[in-house]
Amino acid sequence: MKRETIRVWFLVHKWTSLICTLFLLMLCLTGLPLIFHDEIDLATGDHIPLSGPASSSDDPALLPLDTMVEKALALRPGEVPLFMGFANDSPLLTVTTGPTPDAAERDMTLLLFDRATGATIGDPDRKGITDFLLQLHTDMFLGLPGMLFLGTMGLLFVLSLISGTILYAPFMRKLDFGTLRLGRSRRLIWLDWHNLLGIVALAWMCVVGITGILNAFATPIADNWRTTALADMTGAHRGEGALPPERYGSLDRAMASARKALPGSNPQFIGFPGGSFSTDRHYAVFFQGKSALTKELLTPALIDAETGALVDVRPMPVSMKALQLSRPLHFGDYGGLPLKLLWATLDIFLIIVLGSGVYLWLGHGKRRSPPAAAGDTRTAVVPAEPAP
Amino acid sequence: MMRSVFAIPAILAVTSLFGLIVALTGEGWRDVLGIFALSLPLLAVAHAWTKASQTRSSARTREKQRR
Repeated sequence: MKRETIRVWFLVHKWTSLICTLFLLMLCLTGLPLIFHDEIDLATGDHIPLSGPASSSDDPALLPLDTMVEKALALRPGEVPLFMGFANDSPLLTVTTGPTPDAAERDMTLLLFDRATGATIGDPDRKGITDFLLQLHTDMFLGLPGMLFLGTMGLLFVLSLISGTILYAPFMRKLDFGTLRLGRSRRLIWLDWHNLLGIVALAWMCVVGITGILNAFATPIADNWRTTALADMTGAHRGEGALPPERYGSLDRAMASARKALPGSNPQFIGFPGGSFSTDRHYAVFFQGKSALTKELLTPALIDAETGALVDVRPMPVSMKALQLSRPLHFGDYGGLPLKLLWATLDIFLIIVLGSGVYLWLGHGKRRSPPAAAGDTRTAVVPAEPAP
Repeated sequence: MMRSVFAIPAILAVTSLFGLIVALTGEGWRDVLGIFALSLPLLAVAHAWTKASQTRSSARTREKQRR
């Protein structure tokens, strides 16, 4: 690699890293406890385990969906249902309500129910520590602009990973893999750690970075899906105007016709008419696949909200599939506690890479101070001689 | 030259990606395999650290003996 090429990549690495480091550090520090959000919620009492049939099943012991909607609206009079979420391992059922069918996220209320007994669980206004961390991690309490901003920081992070990998070659040309010059200057030690941890965690950092970007752009991706693919599914109904909430038909009848189209599958959530996951006139029931992989991939069934008749069932386009797969790959919550511990260790590696990067940048000016410049290669942090 | 610098990093990257995906696409033995593959980067760091510490301590011993 030519000296000039190295210099250009060095500048790319320096600036992309500098801009995103502070935010990446925040993401790493909030992300670390979030890896263990299940365990934390359980320990702090923010998650109460329920026992009974899964709320996503059609077990006869479960209460009808219409009853659950009624219970939710009784708690939030004058509001409309927006989403209903199901669990596969307990009778936990969530209902999200809001003042209007197209309510903004900050105006929504999430209610938790036991679908076996109909009882409400927990206080909808109570926010646990993981809720706070997740909000900070997702959008820094700034809503969509915050998400898009962090997504942009993610893009810079991926650029710094690419430039860092390219620079790894000239820096390591004369060194064996994993060289840590522990007896040498502090600067050289941190450079070695930066290079070693950065290169071993490279694939993981790329995956978590790219899936983080996808999650940050979830809103525009879902918006695009709604206006293209979802609109396509309802072709004939376009232009009929929104269905007023008082004319919403039975949810149980809608669910029954959806189950008939996708036998054996269970729903993950329902998008009510007017929301960001449905149209103005349909219940959109999102079904999970049965295998470990397709469990993450949802298939929407559109049901006429007034009549309960099935309109269409169609797999999601590639962009939505990528978005859905990017969630587990970002959160690392799909392989039990051992995978979470690996996720945490790699997250700590990344924190060290970020910290040592800042350290190396802060000391950058000193490098040119006389002792180092006078041929003292022990303290200078420069790549090995470029190949002729 | 380039090949040797990136040989081990490339192996680690491929096994990490394999581990991430194999654990995502199944349960049971696939999770175990995925976790094993994804722990290789950690083992590489542990190995490098042990080796470097040994080198340093043997260098120190040599220095003491010389004195």
